[in-house]
Amino acid sequence: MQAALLSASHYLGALRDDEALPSLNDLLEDICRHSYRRIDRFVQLALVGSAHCVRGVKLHADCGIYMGSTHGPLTSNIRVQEQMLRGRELPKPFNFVNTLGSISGFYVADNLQLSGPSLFVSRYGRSLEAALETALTDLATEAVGQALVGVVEEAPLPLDNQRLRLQVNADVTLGEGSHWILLGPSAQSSPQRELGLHRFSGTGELESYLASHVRASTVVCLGRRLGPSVAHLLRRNIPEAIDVAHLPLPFHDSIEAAWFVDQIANGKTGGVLLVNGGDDGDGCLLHLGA
Amino acid sequence: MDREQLTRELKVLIIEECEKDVRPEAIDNDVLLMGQDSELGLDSLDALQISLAVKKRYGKRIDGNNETRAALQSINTLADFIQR
Amino acid sequence: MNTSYLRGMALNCALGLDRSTCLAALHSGRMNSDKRVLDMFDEPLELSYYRIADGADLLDPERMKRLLPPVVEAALAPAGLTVKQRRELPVFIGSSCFSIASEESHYARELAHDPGHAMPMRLTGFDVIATLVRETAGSNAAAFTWNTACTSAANALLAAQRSLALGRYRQALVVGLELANLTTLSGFSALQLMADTVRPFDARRTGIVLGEGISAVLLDVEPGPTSPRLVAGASNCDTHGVTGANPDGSSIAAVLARGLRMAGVEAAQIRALKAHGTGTVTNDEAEARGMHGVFSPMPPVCALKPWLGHTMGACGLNELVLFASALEDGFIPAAAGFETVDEALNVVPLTEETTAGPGYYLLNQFGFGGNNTVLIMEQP
Repeated sequence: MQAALLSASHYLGALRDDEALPSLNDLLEDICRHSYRRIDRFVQLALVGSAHCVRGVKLHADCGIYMGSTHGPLTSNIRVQEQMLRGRELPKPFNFVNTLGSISGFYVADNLQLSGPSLFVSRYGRSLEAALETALTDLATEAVGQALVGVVEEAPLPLDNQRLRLQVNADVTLGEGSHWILLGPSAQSSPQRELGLHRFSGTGELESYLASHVRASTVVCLGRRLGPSVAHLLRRNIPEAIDVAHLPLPFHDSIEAAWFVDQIANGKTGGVLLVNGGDDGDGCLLHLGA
Repeated sequence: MDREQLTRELKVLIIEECEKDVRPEAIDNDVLLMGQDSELGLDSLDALQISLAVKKRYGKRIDGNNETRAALQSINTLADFIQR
Repeated sequence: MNTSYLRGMALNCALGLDRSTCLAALHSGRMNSDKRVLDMFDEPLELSYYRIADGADLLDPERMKRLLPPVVEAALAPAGLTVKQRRELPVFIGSSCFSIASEESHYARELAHDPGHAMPMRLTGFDVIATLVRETAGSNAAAFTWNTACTSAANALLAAQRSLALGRYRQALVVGLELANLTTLSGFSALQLMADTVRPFDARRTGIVLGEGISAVLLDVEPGPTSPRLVAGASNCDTHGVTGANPDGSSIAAVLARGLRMAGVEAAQIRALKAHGTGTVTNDEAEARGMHGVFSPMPPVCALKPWLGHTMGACGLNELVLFASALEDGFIPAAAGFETVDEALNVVPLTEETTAGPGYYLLNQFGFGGNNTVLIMEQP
């Protein structure tokens, strides 16, 4: 299934262990219709990323919002747990409300004056696929006329705790990210701006796809959850394929989304392909410029 | 507790709990705190947040709609409630 | 576009551990909420709750592992899927609690034994339910997990219906799950939204009563002998306030109208409406106004939260399964406990069971974050 890419924005901030999280206040002041209070870091990241994505684009009021995340509003969830179990008291109302996935979509919808569906759909380490497939389905069934897809990941302090959650080594630089894509109905007249999502199972289907859709200029990236047979095939057929796990990027669990959106936000022509999953079902290809 | 100290504390509490970007000195003791037409524009969610903080700090529980509305009308009514 | 059918359905909730027990409880008028006290806070918290009667400690983190698989299997049973079909079955999950009970239990233990190193949300990630569902079903296909507060499971079902309509999949497994946890119980207490008894649309209503429940639906392009059709639905967002839709009902009326348009059904064709009916002063007001904005006259209104409690993210699917099961059994359930009409709302839910006939039925769900979702089904 596919849709037309209208715009994209990419924010991936490296975090230092010995510092507070960088303030987003200037960015927020720049892009928010009015100043929002009672929002947490997750909402701040969502506001900044979504607003930058749609800058200069005519948005329809029925544009749907499709957000995904591995960890979601983690800081608010941490606060609530601490208030209840360490503090032995009821959680603060704002903190509790902010633990819900739909809250970030609420503020994005308010800031961009949208009234279409506002959905939060995720998958561990593969949230861009989940959110994107839902968006593409809604576009294809004409439930919406445009779709704003976003993946947001926080890294709450202290970073050492977050490394434990992510199960990465102490020397890994962590990042927080906000990665957004705006889609419209498929426009076959501009194939290089068509974004497609295709599911595959096994090396046979993948090989057919590579043969018919991948050119020498296509940048190919291998996701962390590739099946071993599929990974082997890709590394053999496309030796220059990038391994997302080896990229020197500040890390969060939607790092594939970070890479993919960075590529397309920077106007990469000639095709961008992200491959994940795959050995025995559940393979997914995200392809710009198929 | 000294009344002036209490009213100042309450203003700081409200500003912090509700994340309002105003100085404590800017809040008059008698202005309406709640509602879209009020200076601070606080809503029912703010009222809950304040109620919990008041209970934690001063041990006074604000329960039920009418009591909340009355106590949270202004800094003075809130101070009255706490000092009752 | 392909049609989707509710080929298999299963439910475990306060009314009973399977659909037939739940239907018997509806007929007998037996509501199963009880009072419980949470004493892990400095001030003990007493509340009403509709629990699943599995005999376990309410906050036991292992309950999901025990309770979820049988519900999944019960939904899959009627279709007699092959191993290949199970492997290719995508899963669509709707929840608001996820595995938070495990997180809470884990953190509490750490605090007791090693407070210096205790860390909340250690296990984290939304995938726990999806992983367990996939293991149980034998699925190795795509997984989607919705976290949109009280509309989560309804949105999951709607996405599955649209995916099948496009021919992306021929079958889909949709699961709704809510199990008791401290965060939900204490969070809603902090919001002062809880009541002793839930009375949707009643003049004396004062709030919600929480509950837990697990449901599963196998959506299939092929019907079984009596399968209802899931026709279509719609979803929108209202930015009036984070905890509820605009009381003027405008966004609810808009989503109702849109859902009917997507389904190709007129308001007059709706035989009955399963309301969201949380029992709070403002939610019911918004819903009533919204319904009046679209329906004239108002079809019979059914409210299921007096039977199940408010099962949060799972409620859209829990209530659909209960409602569709009742329709299959030939009746529309009454709203237990309704006594006093609220003239301002002018919505009077059914106070007695009514015969259900073939035709279209509409189901409402609304959630925090301004999320509104409506589903339309057709009973054969």
